[in-house]
Amino acid sequence: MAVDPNLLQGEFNDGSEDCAPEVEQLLAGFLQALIDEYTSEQSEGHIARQPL
Amino acid sequence: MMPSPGAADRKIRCVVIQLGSLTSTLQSIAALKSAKEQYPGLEFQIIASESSAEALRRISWIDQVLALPAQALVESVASGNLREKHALGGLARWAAPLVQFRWDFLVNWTYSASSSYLAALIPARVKLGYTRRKDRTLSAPDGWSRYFQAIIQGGLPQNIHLTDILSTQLLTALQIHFGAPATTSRSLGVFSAELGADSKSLADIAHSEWVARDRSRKWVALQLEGAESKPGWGVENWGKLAAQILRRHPTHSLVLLGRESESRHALQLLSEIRREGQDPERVMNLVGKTDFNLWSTILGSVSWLLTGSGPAAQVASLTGTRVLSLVAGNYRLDSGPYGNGHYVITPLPECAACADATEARHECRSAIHPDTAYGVWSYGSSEWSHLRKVSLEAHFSRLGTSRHLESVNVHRSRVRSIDEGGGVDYENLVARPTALKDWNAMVLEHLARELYCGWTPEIPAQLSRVRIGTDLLRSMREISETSSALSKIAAEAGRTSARLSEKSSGLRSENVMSIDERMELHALSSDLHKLEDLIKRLSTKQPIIAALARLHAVMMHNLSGVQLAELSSEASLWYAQLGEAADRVQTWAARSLQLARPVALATAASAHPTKGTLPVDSVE
Repeated sequence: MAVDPNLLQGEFNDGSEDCAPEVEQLLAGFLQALIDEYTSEQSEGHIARQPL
Repeated sequence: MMPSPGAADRKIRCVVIQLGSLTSTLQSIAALKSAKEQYPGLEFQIIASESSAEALRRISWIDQVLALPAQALVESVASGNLREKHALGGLARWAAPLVQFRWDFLVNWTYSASSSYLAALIPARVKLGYTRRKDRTLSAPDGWSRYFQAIIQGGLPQNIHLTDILSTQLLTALQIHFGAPATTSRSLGVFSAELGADSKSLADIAHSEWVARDRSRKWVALQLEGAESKPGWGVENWGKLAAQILRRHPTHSLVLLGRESESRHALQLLSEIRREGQDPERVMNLVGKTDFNLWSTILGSVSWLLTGSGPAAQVASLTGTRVLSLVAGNYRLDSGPYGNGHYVITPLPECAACADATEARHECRSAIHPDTAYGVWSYGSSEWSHLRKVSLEAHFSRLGTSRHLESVNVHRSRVRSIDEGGGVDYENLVARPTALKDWNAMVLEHLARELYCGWTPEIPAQLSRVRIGTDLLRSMREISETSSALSKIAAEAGRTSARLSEKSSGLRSENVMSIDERMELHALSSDLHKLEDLIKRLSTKQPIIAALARLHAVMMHNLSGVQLAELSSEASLWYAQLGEAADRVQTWAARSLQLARPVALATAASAHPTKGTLPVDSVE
């Protein structure tokens, strides 16, 4: 999925300049998955189990 | 279009996502090194965890390292100190430099859910490893990633070393997209003391106790395990092993390595050495006194590293130092030390933690006696004199410790020749009937090479290492029956899928059709579901069938079509592959059964060409 670099330039601090929804959704997925992995202590890289 | 002859020298901008542990990062480094040697034009930017960044910054041929402050970010959000919206803003700013231009290659070797989102954000001409589709579902776009998801992350034993999987995955893609590798390759080093270290670190090395060591002695490093290390071997055992080495090898000295938290263990170990009548002055205790620079420098300059399963083994093998690993029964050899002549001892009896694959403490490693560890190390370190014409059993017999071999497996690594398929292979030096899980691992290796490399050695050559026992014989019969059934089901499912594709491709619309057409499609779809249920039921019979079923599920998840006609057409091709894989498993089972014809059993001593033994006290 190619992403327009300009879409990431927006500031999130005050919500006045949001990035495109698809980028925000990917970033939100990234953050949530990071939280899940750290919470469940499964951030072991290669060997981490993945649900199909 | 054929790639130009000089393609290997062309600049190739490659971003690598490796957010895993230091051990996983070091395995990735070995694979990247091999790619860089063959494609000198490769430029690497690596996205890593903060804990691995220091190691990566010491590698001269890695152009840039970007650390993800994941822990701080997660803790800030979890504690409520940072609102999620602000955290997203921070992540966006962190990721912005990565999306400034289109990369030639994106390699995601983290194989985690989080990294797949990051991979989806970064534009690249070719992507390997997990990413996300437009609907944000997980996608494994290439064959090796699917194998990784189904087999490695499915916890199934297989024989291809992870470093070889990563190397093959990258090199194959490079060859397809950028042409043949360079005809002459330059061997690259790994860690450089001059890089990534401030002047204080360099001064620390220059003035360290290690630099002032007696260089006339042979140094063996012993890496103490963290207290949190689940399958710990115990300080007492390490102490007895250390004392044996000091007693029998007067020219040797030991250096103790470990984190500051293991300082107490280091003192206990020195006491144990004293109790065994050896001089602790022959041991340099550097536990808690090394940063990464000094630690990796020491690991690269000793003759052997004795360790458990931590990252020290990977650093040592990367820097050309031989490794003896003492690990728990569920240890995966496919992530063992990479290269020639490393030894791995695993206990034979499985403990509760091995059997259940739980997080419980492994008790099995206590089955490894210090005499076993010494016997294996002395065998390995004297290879130059016996050239492995003396068996390990004969060596233990000479030491008078043969009984200790009964409770362990001892594997030795070797880099295979290209004719044998290349890559690192671990051979069990203790002759005993092949376990079913080892047989399964051999078959999976064969299937993977056939599927993703397009070449594999003949079955008989691989079977030469199989020793059929009663249990395996029983399993072979069941595998033969279930693989035959799977082959037939796959053939039927392939035909049904092809019919489904044919019928649906003739439709003007997938939504508007006659009642007869709808019923026909429904009937075919229902048949396919029944066949899928049969595959699931068969997969409970044998682990090798479960492995094929899991690979099948991953392939189905990764079908790329959108319309029913495309999806069913792709599915029919994979059913054909599933059938071929089932046939191959059946052939393996049949050939293995042929081995079970009654033959005279070779004794341990006669199983090797030379029955000689070693003068133990002069092995070095």
